[in-house]
Amino acid sequence: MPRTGSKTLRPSRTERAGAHESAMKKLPRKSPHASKKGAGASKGLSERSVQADGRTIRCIESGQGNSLVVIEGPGETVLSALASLLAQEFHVIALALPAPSPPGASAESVSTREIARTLDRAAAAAGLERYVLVAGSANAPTALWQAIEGNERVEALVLIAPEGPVADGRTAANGIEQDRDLERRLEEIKAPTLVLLGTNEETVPREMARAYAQRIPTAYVLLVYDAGDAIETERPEALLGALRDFVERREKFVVNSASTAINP
Amino acid sequence: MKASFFCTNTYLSAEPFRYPGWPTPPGLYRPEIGLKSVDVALEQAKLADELGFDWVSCSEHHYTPLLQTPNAMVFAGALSQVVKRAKIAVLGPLVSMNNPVRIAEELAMLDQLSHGRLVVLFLRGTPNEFLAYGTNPDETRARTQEASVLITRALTEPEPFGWEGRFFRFRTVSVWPGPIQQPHPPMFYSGNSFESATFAARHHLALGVSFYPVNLVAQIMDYYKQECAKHGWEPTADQLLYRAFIAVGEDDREAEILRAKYFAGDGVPNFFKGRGAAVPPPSAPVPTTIGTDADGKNTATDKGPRGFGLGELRFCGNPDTVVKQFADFHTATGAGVIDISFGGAGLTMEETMKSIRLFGTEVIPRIGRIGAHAANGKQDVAAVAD
Repeated sequence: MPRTGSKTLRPSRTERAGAHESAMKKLPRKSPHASKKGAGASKGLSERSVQADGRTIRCIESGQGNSLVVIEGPGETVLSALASLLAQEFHVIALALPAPSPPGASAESVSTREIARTLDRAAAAAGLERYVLVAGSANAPTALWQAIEGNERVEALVLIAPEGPVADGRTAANGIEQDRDLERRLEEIKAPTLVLLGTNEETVPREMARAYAQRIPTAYVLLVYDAGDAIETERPEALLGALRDFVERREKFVVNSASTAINP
Repeated sequence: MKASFFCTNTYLSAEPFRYPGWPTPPGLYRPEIGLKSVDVALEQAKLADELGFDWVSCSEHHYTPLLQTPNAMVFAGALSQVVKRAKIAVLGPLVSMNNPVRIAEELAMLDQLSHGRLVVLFLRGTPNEFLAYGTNPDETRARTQEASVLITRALTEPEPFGWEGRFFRFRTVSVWPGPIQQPHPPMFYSGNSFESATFAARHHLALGVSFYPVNLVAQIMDYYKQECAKHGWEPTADQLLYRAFIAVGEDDREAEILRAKYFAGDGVPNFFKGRGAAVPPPSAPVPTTIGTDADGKNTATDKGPRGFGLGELRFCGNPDTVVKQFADFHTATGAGVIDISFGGAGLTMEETMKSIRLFGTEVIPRIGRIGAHAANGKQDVAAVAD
């Protein structure tokens, strides 16, 4: 069985959300927002598998523009709502976490760290030498490990309503277990890191923002007003706007470059 | 019950009040009268503090001699230096039309300047005032709500953060100094509509209601308490605030004289005329339903002389009468703090000052016990009204 802290057997928050998840999965790739942005130019969706560390990783590609690697839950066969949204403006390569072993099967013990290493190699196998990494909710610890393990290749990291690691020894109400090793090594992350948290968030404790800000030297915490833990469906325009700015400008996204002239 | 002295910093000359509308032209301003006005206002605040008022308050209003506090924070800063004991209540900044981060910074400064005596209420503004900074009236409710949440987070987040809102965007928020009162000063939300009461309850904000007649105040405060219960908390009487006009006379005869002349002149109604006519017109003297001018509710067809219920002299009489009025009001509504303006434009300065002194010496000592033992803000008040 996986060791404590492994996420390979743990369903993502969106999976646990039941009907909500079903609804999200059925989202069309081109939402009304996409049509406004002229999404007709988007590349179609393609699916393939890549090999890494002897594992087969499902890889779904969509959209065009700057490349983003999005970590998806295990067993994803279609783009999640998050990846679909991002594909409206970016070239999205969605890498699915390896599926959990079936009950009763002899499964090897796989840590989150090892999974992250595998995903980093899968990204390389998918043709990306350097990439921007995006993960939401329960996939955040994997992404953090990936940013540590793939320090040279992860150019920027975006965490959306991330679960864990938990600050100050607390355990989140959602049951995410603390990964002290990961917490210790957060300071090694060099990539500019954008952490988005909804102001109506009830699952992720508010202390989490402090933990990221204090432990990742390059972290920027962005509070998304009027959103809970599904920012991609509650405030999609806010999420896309922030990512557009951050992916393009990285640390400089804190500087307002939009003209405020009324009659230039 | 607690009493709050509403320090309006009214311009002490009738000349600009005769101007029939809003905004009042700046050319009518006389520097020497402006100086006298602010000196008198600060003296009144100091006196109120000495008389035992629990709070001294001010609020942001624009382009009018009626309330010369377009930046309530600046005025509150001055108050904090002359009012030594009472709380400094900013009731409040117009958060719909200002920079919320700037407001958070100023509130933190005021809490520091006042040594932790700050109270704040997040105010939306009157319809005409939305013209001052070109704010779209249709957006002001949503802007007020978002700004209130942002200000609260700006005063409580321990690390720098960015804000991606519907109306406000900031990439770096890191307020310094922080508030003296932890986690933040007492916060009220303007609750003159059911929507606002719901919002306040959801965000654990205390409620402030202004100028409505007692039946509507009771209605909205009962609603607010129910909403608070839905969100798992119960407001105390100190978290139920009401603002109104008051006049106190030595006896009933003197009080009736004050009542008769209290609203002489056109200061208040003019505030709601002129360019304000571009937005919903002034309301009837007595609102008959919950809702604000900004929502197009309580608008009047008679365009009468008093807007937004402002003209109602809610509390008036000799000290005994006023004590009973306060007790009755508390019994009916549960309100535990009354923010009162003695600023009837028709009164002389001597009459106003006498009214303030009478309230301080004869009323304040007798209203403190009202509601003091009531968990739900209601009790038999006979004992305190004698």
